[in-house]
Amino acid sequence: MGRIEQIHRMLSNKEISCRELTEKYINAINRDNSELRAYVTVTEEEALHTADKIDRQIAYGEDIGMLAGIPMSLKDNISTKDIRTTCCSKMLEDYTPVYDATAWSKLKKSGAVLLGKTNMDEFAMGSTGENSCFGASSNPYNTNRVSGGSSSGSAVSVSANLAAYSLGSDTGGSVRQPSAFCGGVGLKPTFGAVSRYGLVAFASSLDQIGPMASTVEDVSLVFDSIAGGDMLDSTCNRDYNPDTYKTLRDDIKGRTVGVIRQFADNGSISPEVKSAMNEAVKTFDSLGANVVFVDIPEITRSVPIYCIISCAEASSNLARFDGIRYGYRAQGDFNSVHELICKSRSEGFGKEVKRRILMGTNVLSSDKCSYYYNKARTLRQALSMEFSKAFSLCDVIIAPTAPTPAFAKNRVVADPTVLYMEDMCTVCANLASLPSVSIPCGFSEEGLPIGMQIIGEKFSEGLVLNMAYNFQQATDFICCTDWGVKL
Amino acid sequence: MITREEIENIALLSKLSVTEEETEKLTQDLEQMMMFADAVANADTEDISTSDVSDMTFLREDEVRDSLPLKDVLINAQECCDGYFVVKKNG
Repeated sequence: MGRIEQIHRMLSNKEISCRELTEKYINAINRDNSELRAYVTVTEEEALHTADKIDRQIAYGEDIGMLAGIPMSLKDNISTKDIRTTCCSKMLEDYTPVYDATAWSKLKKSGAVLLGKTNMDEFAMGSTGENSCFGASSNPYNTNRVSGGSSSGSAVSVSANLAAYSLGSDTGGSVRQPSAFCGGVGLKPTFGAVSRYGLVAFASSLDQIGPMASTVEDVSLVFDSIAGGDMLDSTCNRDYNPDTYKTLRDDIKGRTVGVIRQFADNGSISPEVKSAMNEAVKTFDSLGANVVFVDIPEITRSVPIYCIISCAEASSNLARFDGIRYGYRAQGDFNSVHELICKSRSEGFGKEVKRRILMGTNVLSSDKCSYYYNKARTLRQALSMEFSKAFSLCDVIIAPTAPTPAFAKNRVVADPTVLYMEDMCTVCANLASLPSVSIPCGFSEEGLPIGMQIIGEKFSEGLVLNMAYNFQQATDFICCTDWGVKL
Repeated sequence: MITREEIENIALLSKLSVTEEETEKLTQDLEQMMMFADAVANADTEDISTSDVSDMTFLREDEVRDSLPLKDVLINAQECCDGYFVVKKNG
């Protein structure tokens, strides 16, 4: 049983009040957060206010929906009206949105109890959780290891039982990779499945908000609630109304699973991860699925393609931060508005953000644009077409989520592109706009979780989660740490 | 090789000011990132179709609707006055 259903039954059967439940989570956060740094803002008052409202509904005998009263968290790049939203950047340290993101607004209407906003890599740029202006979060399985990123705090909050579920965002792997590192389940939906309204933009053709939890059932319930059309996001599919929860438990006998040959042969993927993937193939086989190899040659260039496109889009999206209408404003006497803006941006943004903005500006500059940005877009199309061709041979494709399990903090690298290669397994799904869920598929010798992706065709979250559910039921890798709340 | 002049130009376009100390490291970083991106620049894309397929392009009706109240628009500004954002006078 998923955590959401478990809590829903406890509330409906009056085994615990919503207030008592929420207090348990708040107390656990107060106890564990200084070490784990999952949260950067804790919304105790708002959480208890919502909890009391849910308790009144239960007392009046009203039927509460599955998501009502469930304590959860939100990545700090998802706008929450009247609650500070920082993107873990000095640039937005004191910024308070005047509107709610659509995805959050839907959960709010369902009675979600928001415990707080979670830690992240600044402006979603990073894969370790170490680029936060508030300090890095820690992996609940081993606090000397990174939690992964950029939805670092969201993954930690779930894995450390400090939230029943969370919403993160994924541009190149930022929901899936930290989920894998922390032993959770994280879904990056099809581009256009979930509204991006209110998500602080990083790369507008790649970003998606995605649910993170410890079970596939929980991810399915949350996804069904947040997906769907939105007038405020013109890239959002108006005709998509998924009910992935209904088909979660369908039999997967006879389904075909594709394995990407280019990853199977890749030397950068650790032997432990490869071994876990081999075991996963055996599990799918035992469930009655067929397994075939598929070829996606363009995948070997996917990280440079992603780097160009995401940096270009980021340099454009982050141009709005000028310190004048909102955000950090440099103090002092300036000769011009231009100088004020340059100073504000340079002091407000961290190193990684500045690097990516400069890279993006460079690849978009007139003499370089056709060689870099335009070619990257063409190769992106080619990658998408290779995936389409592969899906004629299989129903879903599996791949490792990350090349290794969680590595040690403070890894010193002279070359920033070394860290970009951490995303080598995940960026392809963003580039091809495909849904991909990461689920635990094993543990390393050191006891660290290993994650596997299940990738589907566009808008096939139902099938992707159905395969994931069956895999999770057939294996014993559900996230389990000693932190947080024990129910 | 990315020259100092190029970094200064890119920084200007990005509205970022780069100190002397930062310039050397940033030049190095950007060079490495561009070398990384060369895998794309050197690719042969002659035979790939470049149709930009957009699955969903929705346009809304051109109806006038309420936008944000002025007080909300100004609420996060460090300096504002009489309903305006304040910046230094140019010239």
